[in-house]
This record gives sequence, structure tokens and C-alpha cells, in this order.
Amino acid sequence: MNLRKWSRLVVWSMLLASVTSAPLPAVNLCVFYPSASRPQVIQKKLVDQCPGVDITVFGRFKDFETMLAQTPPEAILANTFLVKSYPEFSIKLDGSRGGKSDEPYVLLSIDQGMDPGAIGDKNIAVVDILGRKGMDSFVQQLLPAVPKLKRVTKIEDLLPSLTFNMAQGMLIPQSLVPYFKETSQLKLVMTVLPNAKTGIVALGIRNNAELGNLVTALKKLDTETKQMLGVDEWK
Amino acid sequence: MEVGMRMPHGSRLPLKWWVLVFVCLATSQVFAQERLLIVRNAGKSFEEVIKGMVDEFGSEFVVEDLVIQKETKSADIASRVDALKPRLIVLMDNAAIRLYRGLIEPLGDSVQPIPSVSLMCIQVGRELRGLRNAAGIAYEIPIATSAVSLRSILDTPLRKVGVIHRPFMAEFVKENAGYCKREKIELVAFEVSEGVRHEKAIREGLKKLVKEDKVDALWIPNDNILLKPAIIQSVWLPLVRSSKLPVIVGVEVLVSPQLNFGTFAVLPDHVALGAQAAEMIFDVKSNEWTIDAKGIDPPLSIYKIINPLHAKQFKIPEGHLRTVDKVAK
Repeated sequence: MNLRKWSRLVVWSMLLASVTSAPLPAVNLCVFYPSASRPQVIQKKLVDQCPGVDITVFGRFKDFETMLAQTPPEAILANTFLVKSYPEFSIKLDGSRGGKSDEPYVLLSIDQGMDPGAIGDKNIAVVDILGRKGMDSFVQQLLPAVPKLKRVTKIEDLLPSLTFNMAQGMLIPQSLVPYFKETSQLKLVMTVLPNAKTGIVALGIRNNAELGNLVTALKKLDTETKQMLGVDEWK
Repeated sequence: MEVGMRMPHGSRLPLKWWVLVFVCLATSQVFAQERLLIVRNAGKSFEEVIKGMVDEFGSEFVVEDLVIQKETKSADIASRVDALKPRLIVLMDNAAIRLYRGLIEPLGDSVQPIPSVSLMCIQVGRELRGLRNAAGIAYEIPIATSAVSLRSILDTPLRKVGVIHRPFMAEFVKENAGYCKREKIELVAFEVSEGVRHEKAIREGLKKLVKEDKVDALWIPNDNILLKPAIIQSVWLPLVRSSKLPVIVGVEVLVSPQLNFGTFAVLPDHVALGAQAAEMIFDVKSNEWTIDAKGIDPPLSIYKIINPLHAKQFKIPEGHLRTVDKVAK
């Protein structure tokens, strides 16, 4: 082989090696799922188990919303209703608990239950997962009458809103009732709401973005991490 | 060549006139938005609270900010109010309330003041006495909130919490005792009388709370007199350490492992406080910018810091540390 052909072979080999060995760009995942566990704890758990994925876990809806507006990620992991509110994201994975991908919402109040049909003039505390207007639409789907909503930032903030009489009840997923009953010595009474169900958590992907190994990694999350996200498996 | 846009009837209007029309429309939108004035001190905490508020407001309000300096007078607020015509004033810090009072009180009862919402003030309820059309959010974290948080982190019964306080906190402690009682926590208070040597009083108080009342934890409120560095070193530190009780404090430095004094620091979550204030302001707006009854709401959201040495000492389960915002270093 003469020198020119040899040189061409070397150059083409180097080019081929650089293309095949170049790392894939990281997939960006934004997570917002209010939990008793702090966002930085959930983030560490997810980062450790999802290699190649750039993950940010938000503790506030407003921070999540701002990030999506400024630097839209390839994927989001959030309450199903919230994921569906972003039309550019389509649901790739649905979280389920006990075999069901939706969960009932209930009212929790002190000393006595509430009449869902007569709460129009009551203050009901809710964790803000959709912003002021979004929460009104969300609650309209769950309650026959729309009460005055007292939005709080974190799950644990719901309890003082009842303790200090700022709200007469809280609207929560039924799965959170044990958390409040373990935390508080108040006599907390649950009111079941007819037909008040919504999705738990979902993975949304933007415009058929490439997700690398994200879906596989999420399906393999350990039990503790899945519990922090409110699920026991993905469908 | 003439640059312009064609009108429906065929004639051409110069581009500069369209620019003028556009600017007039745009500025009229800005002036149509309602304005809020914030009067505050400088500092990161204030900025965090404002962020929480402004994030919630979105484009609903135009927010103007007046940062108080040493030389700021009530007249400075007056001229800002005249220029901006805000629908509501947010007063952050006791100094802001005093300056605003200086503006309102000379006007007498015949003039309805602009509604105001006060935050980040020591004893805001006392500061707002006599001020009409006013509401606020307390800055002091309710003891019940802190005690319930500590109880869930420790995962042990917390039946009695002891507190040593000066007379100015008596009302706050009494009010909080009621809330603690609902959570089956007895708040045992020892009041340090005025004119008594503080070191001696604290020693007596701690002895009584620990040995006689047998409290399960101590709550040490932010009091810059009872927490003078010399008193911390000579009285609090040795006695609290020997008591082996968990201690709730209100500043981060007191849970540093180096000092090893407090177990659990509970601070206001400033961004969430701003969001809570925004909710209050939306309520005032929906009530046609009138505050009917002066409500002082407690702060709902807290920021929790744990002393890692105490976390080990009290064998706090790993899973419970997930609910803590920060482990002190």
C-alpha cells in the first residue's frame, strides 16, 4: 500500500473512531412530585440510578414551570394531570400503585368529616402542583363545589393550615392520609369523595425525544425511590 | 420611497405613526396593571420573600420596591405612594411599619389607608395595633409547628417541651401552648422576670424544667439578650449538654457541630413565605382591596436544619433525615 492510501486509511479510521466513541448527549429530565422527602434527596437517588441522565428535582411548582419555559427538557416526571397540561409532552410511562394508575382524592379535616356538596364557602388547603389557575381547574374535577383554595408549597405545610384554622380541610391523595395520621395527634377525619380520582405520576417525553436508557433505568428504580415518587411500578 | 403601511381605504400611513400607536397601546397596558409597593430593608432574606411573591403574581401586578436606608423618612414613602398610586403596600420589617405609621397617623381616622400586608417583623401583631386596613404574617415560627416536626424526626413521644422566656414573649408562649395542647404536647414555660440576673434565672429555669418538670425537649426562642454569646458559653451550653435533651432553636449557627448546642433549627422558608403573602394579597384584591378583620397568620412553611452530632446521639433513623432540608456542617 503506498503512502497516500495509507494516510487516507488512517484518517478515515480516526474519523470513524471519533464518531463511534463520542458520548451521547445527556438526556435532561425535570422532576416535580411533592413528597415528604426533600427534593435534593430524591434527586440524589435518581441520579445514582439513572446514569447518562441529567436530572433536576424541583420542590416548587413555579421553579418547575420556569425551567420548562426557559430550557425545556427532553422528559418530565410529574403528577399525571400536570404532565397532560403540557401538550408538547406525551406520556411514555404511567406510574401505578397496587396495580392502579389512578388514585382517589379525599378531604381530611379535624374532629369531623366534611360535606363535599357544602364546601363552597370553606377554605380548603391544597399543595400547589399547577399554579393558581391550574389548581382551580384541577379541583373542579374532584369536587362538586369549588371551595376557596389555600395553596401551600409543601405537603407538610397542609397540617399547620388546619392546626391554625386557616383552612377547614385539606384535599389530598388518599395515600397521604397515613402520613398525616402518623405525624399529628389531632383527630383527623377522612371524607371519601365520590369519583374523585386522577393519575399518580407519569413520565412525559417531548416531541418523541431520544431518551437513551432513561425508561429502562426508571423501571429498575429501587423500592425506596419508587415509594418517594408514590408508585410501586411503571406501565 | 415612502415607508409605511396601507390603510383599508388605500392611503398609506407613515410607519412612525404606527410605532406611536403601538407604544401608546403598550404603555396603556402597563398603566392598566395594578401596582403594589414594597417597602423593605436590604438583604438576601427580603429578596427571597419578594421572589416568592413575584413568582405568584406573574403579570397580574406591577411591583415597585423601595429599599429603606438609615436616612429614609415617612415623607419618602409618601412621595413614592403619590407617584405610583399602589393598590396595596407590602411592609417588610418593623422599620417599614414604623415609617408607614408616620405617614398614616397624621391623616386621622377620616382617611382610609391603602391596604397593607406586613411580613418579616418581630411581633407583627403588636406592631399593627391601631393600624387600619392592615394584615400580616408572623415571622416567629409557632412552637407547635417546630415541636411536631421534631417529634416526627425523632420518632419518640414528645409530651412536654420546656421554654425559658422573657416577659415580652408571654403572650406568644400562651397562645402557642393552646396549639401545642391540640397536638398533645404540654408547653412548660419558665418566665425570666425583669431585673433578675439572666444567668442565674436561666440556671434556675433549666433546673426546674429538666429535673422537676421532666420535659422531653427544650425550645430556645430567638432572644438576643438571653442568647448573648457569654451566656451561651457559661450557662446554656454546659447545662443543655448535661440534660441530654433535644433542643429546638431558631438560628442555623446554634446547630453547627462546632458549637454543638441545638439539635434542630427551624427557620422560616422565605420563598414560601412570599408565596403565602401573595395568596393573602390575592384575597385582599378579591375583597375589593379591603381588609375587614386584621388577621395575623402564622408562617406555614419552615426550613429545617439538623445537627449531625445530635442526629447520631438521638439515633434519628436515616429515613427521617430525608425530610430535613439541611444537615449542618
